[in-house]
Amino acid sequence: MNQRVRRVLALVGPYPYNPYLIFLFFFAFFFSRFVSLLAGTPAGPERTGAGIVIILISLIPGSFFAALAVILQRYRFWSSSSLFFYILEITIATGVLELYAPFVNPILKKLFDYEYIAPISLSKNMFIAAIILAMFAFALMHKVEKKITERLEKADGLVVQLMADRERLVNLDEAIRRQTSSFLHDRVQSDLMVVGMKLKSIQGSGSDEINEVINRAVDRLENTRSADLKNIIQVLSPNFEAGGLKSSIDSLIKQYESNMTVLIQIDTASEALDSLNLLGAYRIIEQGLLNAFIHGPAKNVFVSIATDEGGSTEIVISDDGPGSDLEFVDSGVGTAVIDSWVSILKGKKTVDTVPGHGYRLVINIPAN
Amino acid sequence: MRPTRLLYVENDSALRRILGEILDQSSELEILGSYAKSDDVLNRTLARKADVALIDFALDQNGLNGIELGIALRNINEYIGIVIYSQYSVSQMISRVPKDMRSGWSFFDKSAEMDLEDYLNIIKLTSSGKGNWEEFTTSEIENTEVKSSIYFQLSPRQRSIMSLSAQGKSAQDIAVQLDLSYSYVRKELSRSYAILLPDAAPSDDLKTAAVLKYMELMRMS
Repeated sequence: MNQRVRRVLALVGPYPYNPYLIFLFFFAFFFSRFVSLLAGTPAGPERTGAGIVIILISLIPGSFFAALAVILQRYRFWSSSSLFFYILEITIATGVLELYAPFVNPILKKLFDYEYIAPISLSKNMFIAAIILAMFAFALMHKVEKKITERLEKADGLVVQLMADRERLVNLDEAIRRQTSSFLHDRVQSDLMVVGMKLKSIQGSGSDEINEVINRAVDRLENTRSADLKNIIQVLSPNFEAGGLKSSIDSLIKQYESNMTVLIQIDTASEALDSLNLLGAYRIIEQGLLNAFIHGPAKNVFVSIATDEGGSTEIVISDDGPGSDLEFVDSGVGTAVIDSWVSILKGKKTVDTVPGHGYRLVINIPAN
Repeated sequence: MRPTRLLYVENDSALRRILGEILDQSSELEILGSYAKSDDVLNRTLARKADVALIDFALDQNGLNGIELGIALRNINEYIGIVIYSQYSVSQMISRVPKDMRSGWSFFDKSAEMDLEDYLNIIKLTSSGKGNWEEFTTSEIENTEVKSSIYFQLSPRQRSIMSLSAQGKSAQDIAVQLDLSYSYVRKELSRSYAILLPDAAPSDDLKTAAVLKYMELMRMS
């Protein structure tokens, strides 16, 4: 067969039947046809009853053909890619439709004294026209459906890509933090300590003046090493191995000591979470506290982390700050960080806030 | 009296040398060896011979940390004292040690200002089976904390409903004022009662008791 003929035939069919669209088409067709009959019925319960009957008899053909489409697509034992069978199927279905008139006519006759004649029964040409119309409808439906599906798939792809990008950025950020933190810990802190000890070891051998200078220098070095650097290392990349989640969060809280009172409850099961979940919980709480401080500041913040026997974790950050209307909840950097972690941990975020009554963030993280 | 036999584990070579020299000056200590890696210390004969081990918490990233090494040593020699020191805060580290193994453990933050005497004190205290671990066990959560945490168990929506209820408004009025459905307000009220009065009997006058409790919490926060 000629290539061009083949291509034209491919446009004709066969197409898959969409049961929803089939249902909608027949319902709209029959309902719009019969609904005008209601005008002849007096208003009141009688009209309501007749209306319900019309809805019911409009539902039947659509439901029947939609079900037929589903059954056909699942159990069809002849070829689904043959144009011949496709046209045959539609022809038989159109023929079956003719059987509907004798079924509804007694009802319509009784209710409205009306006789329904299916247009396809009028002539052979009408019958063929109906078949062509049906085929045209299927082709068009398929085209539209395909376009929508393609767009949705594209959007889904973009969302997946965006999430992956966000995850990569977070991971990269964490890697840099970890490197910097271990450099500060392994090299800078250690070197300061060694220098301090060396200075102390020669202290006895000098004059009082020299000893005094050494004392002050060691003091200064020790303060930088054991307070400033220690804090920075902890905030850059918390070491859960050393003190667990609790002590890491305690040092976070210390930063807000003079501004907010933070209550914290962590159960023992949460301390045993794996390192990724611990880091995620820590980062979420870090941003949650920052938000409570920036948007409040809240006077009190309550943080709780609880993990159940199944391993799913619930993080609650609740404050008594000014709150806001839910519609105006910001989408700032802090929220983006929280959202990224929620998506990395495949969790769920719920925000609840009412102006004047605080802000509450609940994150649910499934077991992994 | 024979000197206390010490194992010293520190992965920073400069610190290992300088602190090793300091400890070596004491006649009360016999250093069995200074090691950089946990694998080198996990030796049966060595661990059995030692009275105490001074271990840096942060060892090689791919191997055991100081506490895990201490536990492993204790499993070989049940009398060995374990002293952990670190640049990280040691305050929570005791929680990493099994409860029945905690005596004979000590912790201290690394410091350049400690002298030989300070090191000797803590090493000998630990080798005698005591250790300073009890200083780091945290107290239980205080009652007031639990009490005010009830306020935070209420969601902001529930707080706003409760505060109107405390002003004497009915569920119907609250629904109108907050633009919520009546049944939703009823549901949130009964949820709030359950949070505010966890031990209430069903026959109690829940509303009054819950409002009183809510007002008490508001004064606290």
